Amino acid sequence: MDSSEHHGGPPFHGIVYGNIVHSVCLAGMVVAIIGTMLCVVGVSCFAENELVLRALWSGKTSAEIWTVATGQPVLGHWYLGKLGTSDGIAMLGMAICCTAAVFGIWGACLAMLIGRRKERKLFLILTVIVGTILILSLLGVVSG
Amino acid sequence: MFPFNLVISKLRLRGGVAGLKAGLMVLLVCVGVAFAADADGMAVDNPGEINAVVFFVSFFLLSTAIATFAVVAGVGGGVIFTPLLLGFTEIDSYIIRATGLFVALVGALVAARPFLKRGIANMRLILWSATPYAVFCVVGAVLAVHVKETCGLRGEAILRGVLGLIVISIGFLFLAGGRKMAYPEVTNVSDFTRSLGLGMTYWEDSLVKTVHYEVKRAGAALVLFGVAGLISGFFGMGAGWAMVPIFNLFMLAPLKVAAVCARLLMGVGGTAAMWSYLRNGGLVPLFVVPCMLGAVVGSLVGTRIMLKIKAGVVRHLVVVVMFFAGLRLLIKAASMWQGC
Repeated sequence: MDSSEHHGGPPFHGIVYGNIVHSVCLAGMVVAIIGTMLCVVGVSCFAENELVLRALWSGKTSAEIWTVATGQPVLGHWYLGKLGTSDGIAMLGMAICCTAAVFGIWGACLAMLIGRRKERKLFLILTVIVGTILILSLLGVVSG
Repeated sequence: MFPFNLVISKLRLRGGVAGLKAGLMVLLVCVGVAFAADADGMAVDNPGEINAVVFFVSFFLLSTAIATFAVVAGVGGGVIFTPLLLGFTEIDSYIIRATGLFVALVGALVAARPFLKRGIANMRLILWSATPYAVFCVVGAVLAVHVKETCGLRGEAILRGVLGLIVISIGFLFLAGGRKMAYPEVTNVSDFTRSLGLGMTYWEDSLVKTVHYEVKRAGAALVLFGVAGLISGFFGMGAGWAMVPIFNLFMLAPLKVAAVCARLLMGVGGTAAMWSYLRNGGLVPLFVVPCMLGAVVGSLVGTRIMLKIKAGVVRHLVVVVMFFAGLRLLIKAASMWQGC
């Protein structure tokens, strides 16, 4: 039984994970809200609002919606090439939210390595496995 | 900008019940409008002029109402959001599931910090369960893409039908109260589970003392987390309804620890699945952001209201909504199947 099992204080890597995901997710939400607000009032939209909403409300698929509204289907990290548009900024914000756990898990992994209270190797390995799944998912290697 | 502080202070002044009634009205009106539009065939054939501001505000209010009820009833918002929208709007199921998952994910990520800081969340338990949960969340999301691209209307019908059955089953689970144990007594822990060292100690405010706990069946629980991840990734719902019982009733973790771990686990597994939806164009900012914002505001309002009212009444109301949404999904699935 190691020293971290029966103490009252939270583990350092847990605090690091919590701080990172909270901050990154909030930052992403702010960016997404700003982008969407600009989009709603019609500032530099990549896709035309009226067409997007009409297609969305009438049950069109995601590919059809984007094709109708932008003339092309959007796949992968399309927003990275459209950061000058309000929809691109909104999508970037949502993507930032989705990266929160990726940064959080790798931050926790680093904290396990440098923290004063050493975590068991098993949990370090599990953190690396989960972090790798998230990275592969982000890159589209395992996420279809 | 929407006057959130004003709304919250009004709710505080007039009491939680008034706020709850207002929320119920908004929810019922939105559902009624969607139902009526669908019944007329208007939503499919002639959506007419749709103003972005009106759309934004409508979905913000709907999402706020759903989140408020979910928090007061002690259930996850995703378990109401996804079935309601799938049952009562014509919006593509892939987009609704992507949005539902994103909203649940953001809620889980934002909530992580205080629980981890206070030591209630057990990182070891989360990491242990996150591996199968994240893997099968991704598998579920990939299956969702596959169904979208290959199964057509028949696939949509099956999806909505299965989701309808799941939602009705969850409703029965809530209705039965779901046996819960605040501090389960853990005996006969296997050598394997004990060797993992998943037990922890945390400070329990309500008891004014530290609580030490052990857990059981760590190996078998991996299978259950895999199943929960598959459902969560495929249907775009938070899987708190499944994960809390797994932690609490199967692994015998204290109820509070189970609830917190389930929420944080959603943040990890949901992220793995979310990238599939994001990369395949399933997130539409004009739809996702008002729902996300509504979920955050609804959680704040719900937390304040829940201190002032009897949650049991709301819980039963939510169960009724779930049965209604589940039945509607089954009816819709049947009509889609006949149309194939």
